[in-house]
Amino acid sequence: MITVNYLAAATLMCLGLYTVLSRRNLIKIVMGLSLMESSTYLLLVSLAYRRGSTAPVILDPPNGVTMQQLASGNVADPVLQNFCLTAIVIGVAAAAVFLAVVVRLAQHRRSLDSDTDRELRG
Amino acid sequence: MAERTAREQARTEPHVIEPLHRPRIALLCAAALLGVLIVGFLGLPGADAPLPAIARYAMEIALPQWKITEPVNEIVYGTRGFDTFGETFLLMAAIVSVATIARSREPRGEYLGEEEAGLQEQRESDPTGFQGGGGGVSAAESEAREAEEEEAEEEAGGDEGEEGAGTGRDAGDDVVSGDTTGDGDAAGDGDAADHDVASGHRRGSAHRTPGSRVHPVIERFASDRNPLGSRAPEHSQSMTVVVRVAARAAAVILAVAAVYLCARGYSPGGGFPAGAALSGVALLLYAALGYRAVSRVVRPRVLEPVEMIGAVVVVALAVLGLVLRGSVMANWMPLAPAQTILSGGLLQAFSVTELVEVATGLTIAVFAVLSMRHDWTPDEPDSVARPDLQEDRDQGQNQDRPDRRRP
Repeated sequence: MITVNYLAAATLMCLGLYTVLSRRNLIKIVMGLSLMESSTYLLLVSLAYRRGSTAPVILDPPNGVTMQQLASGNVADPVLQNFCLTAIVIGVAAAAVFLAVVVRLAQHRRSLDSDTDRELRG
Repeated sequence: MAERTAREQARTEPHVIEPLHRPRIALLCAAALLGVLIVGFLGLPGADAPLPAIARYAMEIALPQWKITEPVNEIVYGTRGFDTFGETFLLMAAIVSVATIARSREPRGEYLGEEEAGLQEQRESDPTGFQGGGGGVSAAESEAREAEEEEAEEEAGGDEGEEGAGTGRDAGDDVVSGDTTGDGDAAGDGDAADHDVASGHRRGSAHRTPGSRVHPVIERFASDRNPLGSRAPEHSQSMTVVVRVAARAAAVILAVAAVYLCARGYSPGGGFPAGAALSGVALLLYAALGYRAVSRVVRPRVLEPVEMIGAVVVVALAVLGLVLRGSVMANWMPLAPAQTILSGGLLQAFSVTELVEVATGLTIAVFAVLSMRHDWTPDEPDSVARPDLQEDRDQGQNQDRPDRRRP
């Protein structure tokens, strides 16, 4: 079941990498980076999954279950959800940095083609 | 039948087939990465594996030690609070770089020589732009410069506050109802006349084609015939009444939801998603009502100090933990009973400062990118095509202040 999520995350990551490597339009390259980033969100949330588990919210443990038993398995992994939460915000900020650089580059060079920006070569 | 014509239309639509950059090598790298990832994923714990130790630890201490029923928040702001502390400043570093890159030219106190260097570089890399009988700039470029200057002037006029915003909105109504003759002029006071001059020919062309079915607003503001770099249609606020009313209603609900997400930190939520939702309020209002509606709050001079104060509070919370309890991010605040707004002590305070950090940070970043205007190199003094413009520009530079920027 959850294997599909892993495969999807891997595929998205590779699609993102292919976009970054093969595209010449800078906006598309930024989109590829964002795609790679979102594939990690999917991976993190999928990693947190446990079979038959509930969300990690402690109200009262179901009858006859102690807190330790609850913690030992029947919930999704809260640590990975935490990673995902912070990664999303950082991802947005990183995308803003990329886009700001792209806009400045486009204003300066009057083109979005990365193949023509060769001044940093060598 | 209709389908077919649509498809045929799509086929005849002009589009560019973009050449790829070394697609085979890219494909090879992507395939190799896929292989590595699959091999790596085989070693991941399965769906039946027990939770890792840190997760179990967090689940066990959340209620007894922190009096909080939401382990994710406990981890974000408690167990892994130092990690979040670092992330806050990573976010801030990104925001500062966006603001720095996006900031327009500022008054200088000394000679830096970047203008001359820039001109030389431009001459080397784009020799064609510097040919053409005496004029350093093409017609399109001077038109774009003119449009940006007009917008800057209008912004200076639009800063007057509520009144300006009100008339601007009324003008928007007029535009929507199809009255293309009297629109927009109520918005500006002194610059309305300039505006007429700038867009006069466009409006004239709209009237001269009575057979065309294009909506006048679209004809005027979204037509392909308008040259790139001409003034932005944003000042007209040409959203319909439906969109504007709905956005106002939704903005209130979204703002309340954001505060609620953060305030009830003992249920799923917390400062990060709440901050993202709050910056969504600013974006929603901007998209629906135009920049004037949000310009009182969404300006660097307001948001940047708030962001910095939030960062200082984060540092203070962490350091006070070190001073009072012996470790960074240790809880030094009194714990309220579980499932109340104040439960969680330091967690809740940290969460609220994260709300401020994320909301202001994302808003600054988005609006900084939106407000990036061309940082024009002034025309070469010996090749100025329009001396009157040059004079305006010199004056504009003297009074150029960072808060004059506008999306």
